[in-house]
Amino acid sequence: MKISMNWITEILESDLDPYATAEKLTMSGTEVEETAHSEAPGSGVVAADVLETTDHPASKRNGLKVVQIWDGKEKVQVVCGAPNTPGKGARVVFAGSGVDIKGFKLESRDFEGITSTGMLCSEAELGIGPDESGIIILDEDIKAGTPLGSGVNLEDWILDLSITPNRPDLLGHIGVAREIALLAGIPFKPPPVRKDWQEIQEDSSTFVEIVIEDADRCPRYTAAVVKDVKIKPSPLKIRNRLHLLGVRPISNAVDITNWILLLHNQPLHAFDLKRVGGGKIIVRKAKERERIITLDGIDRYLEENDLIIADKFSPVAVAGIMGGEGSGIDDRTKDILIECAYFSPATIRKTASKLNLSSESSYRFERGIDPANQVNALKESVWMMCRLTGGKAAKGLIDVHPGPHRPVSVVLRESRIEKTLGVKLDWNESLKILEGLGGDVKKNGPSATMTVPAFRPDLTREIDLIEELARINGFDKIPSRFPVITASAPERSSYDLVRKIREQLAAGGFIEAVNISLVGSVKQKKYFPDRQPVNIANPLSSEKDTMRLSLLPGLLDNLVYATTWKEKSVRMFEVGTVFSSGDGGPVEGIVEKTNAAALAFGPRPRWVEDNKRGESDFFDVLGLLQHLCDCVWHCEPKIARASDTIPVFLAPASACRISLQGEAFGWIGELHPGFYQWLDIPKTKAEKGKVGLFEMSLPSIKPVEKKFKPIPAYPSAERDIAMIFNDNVQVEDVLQAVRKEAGEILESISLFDIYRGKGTQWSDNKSMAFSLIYRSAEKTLETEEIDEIHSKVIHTLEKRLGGKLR
Amino acid sequence: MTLEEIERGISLILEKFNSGLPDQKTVEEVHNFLSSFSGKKGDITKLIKELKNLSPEDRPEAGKLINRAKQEIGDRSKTHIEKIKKQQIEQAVKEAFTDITMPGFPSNTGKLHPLRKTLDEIVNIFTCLGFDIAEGPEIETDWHNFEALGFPPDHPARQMQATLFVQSEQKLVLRTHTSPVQIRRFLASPPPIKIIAPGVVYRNDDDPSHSPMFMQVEGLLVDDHTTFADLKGTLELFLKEMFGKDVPIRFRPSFFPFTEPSGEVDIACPVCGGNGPKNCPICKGYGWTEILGCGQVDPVIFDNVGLDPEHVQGYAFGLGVDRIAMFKYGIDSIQHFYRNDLRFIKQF
Repeated sequence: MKISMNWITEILESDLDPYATAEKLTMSGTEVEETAHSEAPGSGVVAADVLETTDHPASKRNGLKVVQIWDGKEKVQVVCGAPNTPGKGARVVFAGSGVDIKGFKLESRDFEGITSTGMLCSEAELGIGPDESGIIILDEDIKAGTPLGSGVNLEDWILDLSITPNRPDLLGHIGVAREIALLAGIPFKPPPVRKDWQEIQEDSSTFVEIVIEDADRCPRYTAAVVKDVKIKPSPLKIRNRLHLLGVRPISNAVDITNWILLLHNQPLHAFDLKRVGGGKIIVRKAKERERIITLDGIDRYLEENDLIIADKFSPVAVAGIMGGEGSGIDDRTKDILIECAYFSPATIRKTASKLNLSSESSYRFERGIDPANQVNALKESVWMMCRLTGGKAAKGLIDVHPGPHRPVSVVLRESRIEKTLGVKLDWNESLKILEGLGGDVKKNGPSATMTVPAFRPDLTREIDLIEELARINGFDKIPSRFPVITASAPERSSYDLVRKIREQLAAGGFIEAVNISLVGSVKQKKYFPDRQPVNIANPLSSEKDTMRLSLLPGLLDNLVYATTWKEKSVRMFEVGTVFSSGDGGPVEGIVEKTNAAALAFGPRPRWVEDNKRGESDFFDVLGLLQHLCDCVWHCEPKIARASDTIPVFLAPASACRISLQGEAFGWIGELHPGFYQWLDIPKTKAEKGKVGLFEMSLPSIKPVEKKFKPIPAYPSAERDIAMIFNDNVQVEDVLQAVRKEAGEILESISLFDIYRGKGTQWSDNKSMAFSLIYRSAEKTLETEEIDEIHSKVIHTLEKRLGGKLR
Repeated sequence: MTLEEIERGISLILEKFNSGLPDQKTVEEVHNFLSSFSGKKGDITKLIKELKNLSPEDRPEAGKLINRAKQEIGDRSKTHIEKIKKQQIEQAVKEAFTDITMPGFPSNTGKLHPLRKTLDEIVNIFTCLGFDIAEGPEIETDWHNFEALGFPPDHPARQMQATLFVQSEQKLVLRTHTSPVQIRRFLASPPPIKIIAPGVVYRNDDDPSHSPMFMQVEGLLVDDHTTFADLKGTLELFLKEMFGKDVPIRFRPSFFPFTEPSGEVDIACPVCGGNGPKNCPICKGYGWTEILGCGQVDPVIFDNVGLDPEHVQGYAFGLGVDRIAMFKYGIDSIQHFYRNDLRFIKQF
């Protein structure tokens, strides 16, 4: 909401510093987003009288005129091409040669033999209005030679206020002036009510009858008739002010409705009286499927709950929101019916939101205008209408008032102020502030009753008054204290667990991503063809129309993005929420789960493998998963080839379910080759790049603390085995066979090399090398003992798994 | 041979040894030098062989003297060897050179996301102050997200929060703020309540300065005595912890349907330091920038959750994590956080 400081000054009859005013408003709850200076044209731009206008002898076709003007000092000749160049007697705006207009210095110019010493100006040329269709013709009574800037007072300061929804009273200049007066400690007097306009003999009621059928939603409807108007542009001052406040000036009648809107915060509607059929205005519910073409040219169907303004035959306006196309003012309008009403905020909100239609008018009605100011605003508008259009008002204003405003009274207890704010405020000072808000305050010892002014619908409770006191005094009057917080054992939340998981995944060398949970339905279908995601009813785009079922599509997008920037090695993870339909969550029909997912792609980082840097695959994410489970849940994850259906984006050869202590909670595997091309993941140098990935929900198991094992007292003995096996022998087969044969004396066995190719003789063979550690808890093992067991182990591997020593 | 001759022999040997030892420059030379005395053909060995020519009464004494001499040259050799070794180390240390401009061997390249790191930091501060952590669903009912918080249907205040709706038979929304966690917490058990609720929230906005998803931290302290002064104290402490002891802070009134009095807190623009050049991307020359919203819990909330506003009171606040992280790290656009560009995340 833009505010003209000139207007505020006119209302308060007091000069104010724009910056100090902006600061006071901001610090009292109405943030001023911009304080802008609007400069008047320089002193060389003056009013001038037209003495004579003739056609340019050489350029008749172009419509050029030669105008002789009096600029207050001398007679000057200018050549003017404006279509509205006036004749003798008109008052125009003149800039002589040597004057700067928007950075250009005017010079005398020759137009086919006729010298022009300066120019007649349009609003747009001077930057004081939008009109560039013709030159300014002044209505104002300004003597020739008077600089335009001082004659019309064009210099202004414009404050752009961010008005919170609870303060509809600040949507008009009178309300803002009242607020500024209170903050600046200067008296406030509402502008005097107008009474002096020209009237005709006939009474308003002879032209129109007003009927309110729904008094709840339209408790008051006032109206006036102004006859024999002449529609033309408004005077420069009005046009300029509307322009500075962001409203396009149109014609005197329309500009007046906007003027009153910006001054009184009272939306008006001006009907062309002859288009109000049957001389009747009815405020009623729409009939089902009733139609109206609104001023924006859209044909709209109405519903029974919509409040409309109708004439005898059909709707002429959607009440408080927008007029109908057929009933408004145009250049031929002779007689005007001005509507000045109060509509209940709820009805305007409902209809505006249903029709998806909002206007300056509905914006104000929705928030709640002053229900007791209709007559004042109407009088101001009639006065202006008569003055600017030359019309005469019908006698007697119409005021249909079935639902009079009942003032609200609020009791304030002195003790509650300190109890809420934590500071004691002077009681009498506080009551003075409430009076300054426009309320009628009655003190009764330690409590007081405020009759709330009608323009403050937000003040209905004691706390609302306490807020006003805090606000007007300023928050800096309230001290800072640290609260006394009752100590108790903190509640644990999943936040702790999630943080632990994130820290361990990062410790494992992966980089954390945060993806937006909104994902395109087409993409989700590709990953999860059988699952139905939660849909967004009003999506931002088709790329964000469903809630994610999984974290992996997002991470894979991140991977693709990284590879477009030539990132070779990508290791990322995310911990976040995934969504599905179902029961059991706190919100009916929705299940939210916290998942953790990771992927690895490209060359292994140096610290993973020192000598031979391979390409990331399944085993990189398996290692990460093992590290994670060990650090967070203190146990080892079990992975098992999926016997049931596996996700379509996983390659079947390695896709496994993850479980922890019997609880299944996720998937691990490699990206299905079919997805590489679709995602456009480039092949790595080694031409065998894989994407290892896992995703898990958080298992419900509670981590069991690790238990101390005694440090071994006796030395260990290490032996290696390197054997050639058939390719179908898995590492786990060897581990099991060895453990079974060696028994308790085997402390550990681990794979340290796998080799395929040269030396293994057949293509379906592989060499596997294991390191075994033998140790007894009771004694130092003798070499002979170890040798005996070790040869048994080798024998078993030869016999049971067909291994051959290398 | 007499004892005296033995004694003379020993002193000659010792003299010869002592004068020759300093010339031995390596461990090997010392060993060779030593064996020229105590080796098979060494001078001392020769002397020992002479013992048999001594009178039996002199032999023990002479043996003792020879052994002592042998012991002495052994000890001296050892000391000399230690000295040589020490000199060698000193020499090696002096000559050694390390190119310390070579890169460190990386131990790990994992990183936490700067936004979640900031969130962790905020959560840490408040848990240290005694707040518990509470969480709630991201898909919320209209009632929890709006109505219970004082936003009636179609209320203009709802226009402050462009909402994404879920296709559903019930009225479900993607929560527009973390405030519905307040309602869930109130309904779970009566005050005293002291929680923070970190989490993601959603708005129907997507442009260079807005992301449809972003992060907030809600705070709620409700008992029978907590005032607006306590709110100011808590937030000042938090902001000083987050942005430094000297950060200028100001509280100014504002409006939220679920707090009254409501306020917003500004800090001096962390980009231009509050000096406000007109082209400052954050404050546009204003000098201040908004960092959070807060206020005393509105009595309507207590009514909505069945508590008596005459007997419970307290404060609530909401922090924008994205903004705080932007200020903290000097990040110029919220869009960076959700693009997951490794070149971005790796910086933090």
